[in-house]
Amino acid sequence: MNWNDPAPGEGDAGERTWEVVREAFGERLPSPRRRDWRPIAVLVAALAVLAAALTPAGHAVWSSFRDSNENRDNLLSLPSPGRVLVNAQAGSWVVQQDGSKRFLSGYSDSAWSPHGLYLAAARGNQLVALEPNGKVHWKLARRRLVGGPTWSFDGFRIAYLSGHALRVVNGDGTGDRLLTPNAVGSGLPAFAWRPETHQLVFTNGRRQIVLLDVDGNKILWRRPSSQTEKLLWSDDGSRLLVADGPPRVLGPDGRTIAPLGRESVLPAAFVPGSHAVTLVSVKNRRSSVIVHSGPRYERRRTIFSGAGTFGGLAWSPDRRWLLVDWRTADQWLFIRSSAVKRIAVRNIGNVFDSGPEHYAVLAAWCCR
Amino acid sequence: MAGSPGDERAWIRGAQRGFEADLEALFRHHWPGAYRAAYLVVHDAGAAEDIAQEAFLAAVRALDGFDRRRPFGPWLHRIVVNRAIDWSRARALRREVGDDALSLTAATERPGNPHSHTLAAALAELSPEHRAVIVLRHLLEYTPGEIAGLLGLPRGTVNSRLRRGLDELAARVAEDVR
Repeated sequence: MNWNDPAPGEGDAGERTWEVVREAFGERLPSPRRRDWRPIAVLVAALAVLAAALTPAGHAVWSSFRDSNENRDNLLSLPSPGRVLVNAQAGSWVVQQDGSKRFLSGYSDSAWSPHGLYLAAARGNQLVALEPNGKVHWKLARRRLVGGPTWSFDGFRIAYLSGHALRVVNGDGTGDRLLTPNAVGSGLPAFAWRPETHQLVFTNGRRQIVLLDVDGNKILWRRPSSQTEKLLWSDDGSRLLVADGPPRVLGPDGRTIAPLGRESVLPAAFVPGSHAVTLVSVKNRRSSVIVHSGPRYERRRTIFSGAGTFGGLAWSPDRRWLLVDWRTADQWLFIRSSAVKRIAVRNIGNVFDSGPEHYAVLAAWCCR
Repeated sequence: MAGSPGDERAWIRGAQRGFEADLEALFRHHWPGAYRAAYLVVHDAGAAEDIAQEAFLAAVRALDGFDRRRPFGPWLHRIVVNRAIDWSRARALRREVGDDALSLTAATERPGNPHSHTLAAALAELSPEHRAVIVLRHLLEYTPGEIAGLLGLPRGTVNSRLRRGLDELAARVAEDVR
């Protein structure tokens, strides 16, 4: 073996990356030279401890300092009501509107129940239903790794993966059963509950998109598909976004209503309460958030553009804000949908303790 | 480009002061190792580019606070390898293409180096954790103690992963050559 051989694409990738790095370097503001305050800080801390130990007034100051430290985690307040769920390397985070966070250690792929009262999450080979405060309601052990749990509109059904198999279980943990043994064979697993129904759309191992009435175990329609990566329903269940390379929108009967261009890729989200679709398009290493609207999706409006990749999109429950996980910049951007207003929250990797080594995945913004 | 520790400190100092040429020297010195490490763990050129690129962007963001006395390479490689392991684990759960397609890609993209085809394909069959320690040890030439520090693992775990990974790799390469 010659470890020094170039890897495939190494040279071209290096040139492309250098351009991106150079651009990021140009945009960076040099920080002013900092004075070393450490000796003074040590002296002040020593005096504070001494005062706390010796005087009642000092004790009050110490309590106040301690309390402020316990609340210092409020870095990320949300501009709109609701709670945001984030899946990070070591577990899931629930971010409240005031920015306080609760860490649910060891869980992955967490998903909100319809009203945000519960979460369904994976923990190794277990499917777990728990409250956002970490209280576990039930667990279901499977033989293979569990992933991607998703609640139906009323919370009475949860679809999830166990290895490559797609399964469904009742919201109380009973009635677990197999839907298809291979939901992965034709690409990434993709499945989504149709709002206001117990109909589940999913991809099977035969390169098909299938709409299944889960309770009646009846297939409503099948459509061919190549490499489906994501399936999303509009709020009224009458539009289905299929991302399989070039994304397209299907009607309720599975027929194509409109293709959405050739370069659009994930992430994607329907605008709440409408048939408009928010997609991320990547061109020349820049990503753009574009809203496609109109009867045939002929209207397109770019609402944000930036270098690198966007890892996720989530609309606020009141539809006024769009949260963009700008992964390359390690930032969350809250974009006001009715006017051009942005709030940037930096160092997202640190906020969720994922550090620069791991990604924190924006799951959803739920419920007022 | 010599790339001695002294050069590296000078590049970082220059980049911290805003000199693009120093940042470029640092980038060009470390790009091959970062990209190859990512590629050998994920076996996907696009993902390797994204992972290595994001590691360098993280470096640019952290530049002002970077301690010049610390070596830059281990800091960068920790990011690259951990992200590559994350990516591989995610893909293992949600497999996009089979191993046959991966080895075919490797074979068509690397003409003139048949020995490496076998090795790349064999490496791709190991778990991401085993790939990572082998890449850190044999591509980036870290000691087992340093790898333990980079991946946050006990040294014994690193040694056992190295031993098992290399045994498995040798067996697979021997099978392919036969």
